Amino acid sequence: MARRLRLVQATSNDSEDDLSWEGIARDHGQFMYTVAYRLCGRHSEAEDLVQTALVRVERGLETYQPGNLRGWLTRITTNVFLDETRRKKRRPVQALPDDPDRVIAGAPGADVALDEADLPTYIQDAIRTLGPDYRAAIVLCDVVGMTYPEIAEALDIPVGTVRSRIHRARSSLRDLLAPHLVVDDGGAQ
Amino acid sequence: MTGHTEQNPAELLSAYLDAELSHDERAIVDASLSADATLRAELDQLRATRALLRGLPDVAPKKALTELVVSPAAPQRRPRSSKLAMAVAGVAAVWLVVLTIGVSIGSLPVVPDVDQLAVQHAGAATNMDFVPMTADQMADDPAVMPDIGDGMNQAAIFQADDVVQVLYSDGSHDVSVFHQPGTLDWDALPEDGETVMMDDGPVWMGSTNDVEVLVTQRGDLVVTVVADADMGPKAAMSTSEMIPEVDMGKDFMGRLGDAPKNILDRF
Repeated sequence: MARRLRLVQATSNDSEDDLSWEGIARDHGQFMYTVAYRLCGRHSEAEDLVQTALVRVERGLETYQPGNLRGWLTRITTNVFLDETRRKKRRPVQALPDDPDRVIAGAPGADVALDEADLPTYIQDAIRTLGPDYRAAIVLCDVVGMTYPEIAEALDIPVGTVRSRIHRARSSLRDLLAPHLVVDDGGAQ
Repeated sequence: MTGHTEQNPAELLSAYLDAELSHDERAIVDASLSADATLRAELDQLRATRALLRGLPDVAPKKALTELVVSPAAPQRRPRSSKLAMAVAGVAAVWLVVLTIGVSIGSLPVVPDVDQLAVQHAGAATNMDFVPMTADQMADDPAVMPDIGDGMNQAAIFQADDVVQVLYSDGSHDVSVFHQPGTLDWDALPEDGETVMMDDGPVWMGSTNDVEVLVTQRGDLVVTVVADADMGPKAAMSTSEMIPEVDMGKDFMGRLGDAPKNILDRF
């Protein structure tokens, strides 16, 4: 489990951060990009997502209260992702299923081929089959390392909803990733 | 927590793994696990799934991050200089000069004159010399739509330099949508309005006794929506959501016919 990012808790006190826009972009841009990519699964989309998120960061800096900087950045990035998926839903380009049990089958484009060169895409592809709300919950939990209350605050939903979304998302991913699972019964949590 | 304790223990397994259950809930799941081998197997599978996700590596952008974050203004612009360069290469030298001026104007910060646009919406005389246009003349403009929903149909189109006004009406109320190419200079908007965040991004909103005004960026266009005041601010907000993100690289050639002439007229 060495790779688990635990990015939020690790930097819960940002008193030593450079809170200028340039400082945030320089020091935390990579983090925002990782979150963005795990949410949308495409480099081209992740770049747009981070760009938009950084615009919101710049506008929000005046009112930002120092505390959990990466939590704030995660919330902004995730909300940009959710806003964008809702916008696309209003003007459909490619529908995303709300039901995590459904799987989109489609031919990979050049963007996908590019990603496959250096990433374990079967996991990312499985994440992409989830509806955006479920995707956001599981990425914030298992990639970013947020607690359920932190996710609830970031997504502005009850903790009970976080709990059910994570369980549904993880159960769906379990089914999709079954051939790749290494089951170690009775292992530590 | 009573509600959770009534749940199927299987539904609590992820929260159990994540140590997000109350003491009572955890006890219930522990009891179920000790008596149910199927549930234990499911827990192991969920744990393995979580391990896969937790093992995902950091992701580096394909582009250098500095390209994404050159400045606060940069993120709203998308690179399309190569498209513009191809367009420029295809026109005659005299047009090249005019075109260069046009591109420069298009990329400069723009702040719409909201007072004059509100006056234009009311049908009174402005200093902007709006002239009537036909729908056919504006057929290539993706921001000119036949209707914006709720019975608001296109009633008239006007143009003044690079500012296009599309007037929509349902017979009793009017909404004007003005658009012009450029990047909105947010800081130069009047101080008596406020910037709020909508699903599609930030919008500036202001009002007078007569009209509600909304200004926002839609792709390469600065859009100003002016709605009759008695329609309320939601009319302007819902209208702005109807305006598509316009990529000037896509319809740039379609604008060549009018834009250079308009620019020349200025000089």
